[in-house]
Amino acid sequence: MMAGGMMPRWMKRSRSAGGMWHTFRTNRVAQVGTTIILIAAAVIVLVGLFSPYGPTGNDYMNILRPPSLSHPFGTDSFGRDVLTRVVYGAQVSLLISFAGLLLGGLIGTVIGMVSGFWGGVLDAVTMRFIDLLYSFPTYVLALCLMLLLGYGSRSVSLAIALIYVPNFARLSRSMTEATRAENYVTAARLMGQSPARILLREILPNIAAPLLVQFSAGLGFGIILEAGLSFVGLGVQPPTPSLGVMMADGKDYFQRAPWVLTLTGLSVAWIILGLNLLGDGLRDALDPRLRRRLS
Amino acid sequence: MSLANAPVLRVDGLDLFLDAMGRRLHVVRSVDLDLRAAEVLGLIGESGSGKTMTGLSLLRLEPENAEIVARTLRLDGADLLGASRAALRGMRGRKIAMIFQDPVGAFNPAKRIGWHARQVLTRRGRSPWRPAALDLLAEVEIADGGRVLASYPHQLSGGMLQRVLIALVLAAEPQLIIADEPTTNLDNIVEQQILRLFRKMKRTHGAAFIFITHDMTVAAALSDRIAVMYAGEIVEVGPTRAVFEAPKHPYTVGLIRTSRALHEGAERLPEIAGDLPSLADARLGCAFAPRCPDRRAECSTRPIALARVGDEGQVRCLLYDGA
Amino acid sequence: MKILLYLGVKVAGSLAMLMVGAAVVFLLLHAIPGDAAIAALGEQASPEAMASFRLQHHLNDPLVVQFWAWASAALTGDLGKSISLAGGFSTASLIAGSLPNTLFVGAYALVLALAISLAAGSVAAARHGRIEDVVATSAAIVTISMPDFWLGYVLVLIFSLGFGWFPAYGFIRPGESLGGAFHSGFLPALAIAVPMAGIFSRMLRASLLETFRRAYVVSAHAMGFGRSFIFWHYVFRNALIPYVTTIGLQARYLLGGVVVIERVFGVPGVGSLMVDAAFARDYGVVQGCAVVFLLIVIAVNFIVDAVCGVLDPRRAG
Repeated sequence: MMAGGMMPRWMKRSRSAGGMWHTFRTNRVAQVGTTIILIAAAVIVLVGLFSPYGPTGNDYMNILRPPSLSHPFGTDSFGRDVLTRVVYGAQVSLLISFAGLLLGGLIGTVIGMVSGFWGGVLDAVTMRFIDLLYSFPTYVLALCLMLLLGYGSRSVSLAIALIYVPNFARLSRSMTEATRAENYVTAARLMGQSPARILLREILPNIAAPLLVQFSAGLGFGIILEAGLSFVGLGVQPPTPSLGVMMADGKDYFQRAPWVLTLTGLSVAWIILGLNLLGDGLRDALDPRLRRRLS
Repeated sequence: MSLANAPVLRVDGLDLFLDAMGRRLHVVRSVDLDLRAAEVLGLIGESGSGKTMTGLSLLRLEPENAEIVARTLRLDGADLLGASRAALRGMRGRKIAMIFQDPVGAFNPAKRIGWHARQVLTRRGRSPWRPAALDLLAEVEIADGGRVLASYPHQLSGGMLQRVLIALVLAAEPQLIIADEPTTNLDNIVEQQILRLFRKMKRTHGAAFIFITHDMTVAAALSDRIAVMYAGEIVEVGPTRAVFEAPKHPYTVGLIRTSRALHEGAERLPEIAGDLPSLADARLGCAFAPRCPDRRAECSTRPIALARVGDEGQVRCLLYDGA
Repeated sequence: MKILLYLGVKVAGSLAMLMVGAAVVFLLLHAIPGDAAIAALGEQASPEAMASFRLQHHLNDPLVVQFWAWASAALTGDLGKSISLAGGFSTASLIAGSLPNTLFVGAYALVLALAISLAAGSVAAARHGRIEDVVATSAAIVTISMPDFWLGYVLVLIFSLGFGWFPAYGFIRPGESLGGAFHSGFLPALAIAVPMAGIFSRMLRASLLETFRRAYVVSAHAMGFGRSFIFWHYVFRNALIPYVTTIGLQARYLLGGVVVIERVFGVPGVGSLMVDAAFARDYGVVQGCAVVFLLIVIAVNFIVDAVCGVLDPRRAG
């Protein structure tokens, strides 16, 4: 029913960014996601500012107390207030995940764009390596990297980055390959613009949106990855509070005091839910045809 | 078996409303159609004229967000409007069939042509189905029927697929065939072949056709009568010859003039100035008035009905009202 | 005939990828600072002992030679000996002992995820926009947002400590008792399956909804086919293709989850073995495990490709 020759919306130049913003703003899923994130952010800020407890600091009088008014999330085996530790831990986890995603996203996008733009043998060989990287189970890759680099937050970030390079590389490559044939790109080439300029000014703005969706989805999973690695003991090391470290701690006395692990995990799930809903809202704001490629 | 001159299709006051993006679009406005056995009606209009929706309505295949209203909607006496789902399913592919614009889109990409043929033929009680299928393929001038039956849709050309589709339609021996731009996507040679097949179907099977198209020459080559649609309304109906040689409605006049110029290879094509009116708004008077070179003040003040003109023609225009 | 050629090319490609992957892991692990001899024998060991250790394990040879030795031995099933984790045991036997458990739990999880998602995704698409759809879609996104090991503990809390239906820890090997394996493996498999099911059902729902609107569905109606016939042969059949593709794409996450869940539930699988080896700095075992995991993912992708080739005639042809 569509008149032939109508370009898919996402391929037009980012004139339509304004329209996308409007769709995103009115999208119910995005609204719920934003609300969740804001609540989490508010809790983090308020507790960070006003909590009478610190993230460390043992209080042996109050070990393993169930949730109460003075300790909404209870206390852990060192008597520390769990809510405060969750708030600090969330910041640590978010930072690690964000840094890892950012690094992985940049590297992956560059690789993908270069590969998709030039094509040929470079493209074929590069994507085979990317496929190989993608074939490693996430924790296997992370584990090998931790062995190489040693434990700690920085290594976890790098592991997350490495895991996400193929996601961004594949996505940006397929988008770049599709956009390469567009008229405005050909025009820029004919005008003699350097490839780097073309990639940066013509192609990147048009493929940015789906990459952002990938970023928000990856942010959530990055937190899960960090939590998993720290939980197993190969990630962030105690006493630095991260959500994974806390859950590792909580598992030791799970039968006696299940709230530590349960509530920490619930907080993780809450934050990630918000991020995922935001990502979904973003995805809905794009042309529906794009959704299939992103899933 | 209906009598040679009995009406196969009776449509009176057909309206179709589409709910899209919070707005209600009045896509088909009070359309009347009559069709007899072995008669071909060419339904002409540009994109957005409502011709495809009209065609889909006849099969009750309107989209989910559409609502159909009509005073009469009968196929060979059977009511289409109030019919149950089971009754409609019984009629589709048997009494009424549709040929689509994109032949590739008519087939299940995961299944071979033979599978399609078997499904259609066994439902008509033709068992064993294979010899019947090969016969039908031969009838639509497909040389290697066996190879075609073993192929997947993506392995065959558009023209070939269209012929297969026609063969499947023939299997049912329907009384009414609706062809929605069946040759638009095909090149000229193939188009001529398909048109020839349609003429054969009309002759030998006595099927009535509604031939939906925007191409005037194709419509002229095949149709007994022509109906012109504009912005959801029928603006002119009449025998093909009369409409082409002496068009009445200013829109029809403009269309034919452009078409003629196209075929005579003119350097500049005459244009009909202006744009289609919105389908959402209520309309007072003639839809074409804003673009009409002969408009008068009263054209936009009151609804205009189809009026008889000549022997068998009808026009929706004040220039001919009461003439 | 074309199908065979297509599959043959895929097999060759998979094998090549496996070799390159093994090489990459090998290089990675050999770049680790620290001396394997010291790690195994301790810092107090005599220089002669260390020298003979190095000789014995070919640690002085160039890397390429070392890798070639490892690879050719691996092809015959010899993955070397565990250095520090389980001194003297061959890596291959360690892995062989734990692989069935991992495969069991992994396959169990996959089957559960498929069953849940096929049901939920179909219902959500069929009742599009109505309450069943909203519930299913919300459930899906909630399950995707939770860490799978956390879910494991919550399941233990409710079904083990709470109702007492399943054991909280420990795994009965399928070799010992198949029923026991199914029983003790249910919670771990479910913990992995639920987030996967969320992803799969979203994919199936989207795929079904998109296929509903395709031209060939309208055409099928025009030919007078019945609704359930059209659903199974036209809609579901074609919507399966993106769904199956997603399974291949999620393999790396599925197996990643297996590694952590094995720790949570005490399943003695390859993942657990790998983590223990990592702590013990037994890189030979880590390498063996990593390659085995890579092999599993490649095999899963191969199967997915083959199935897609059958489902979608446009691919191979």
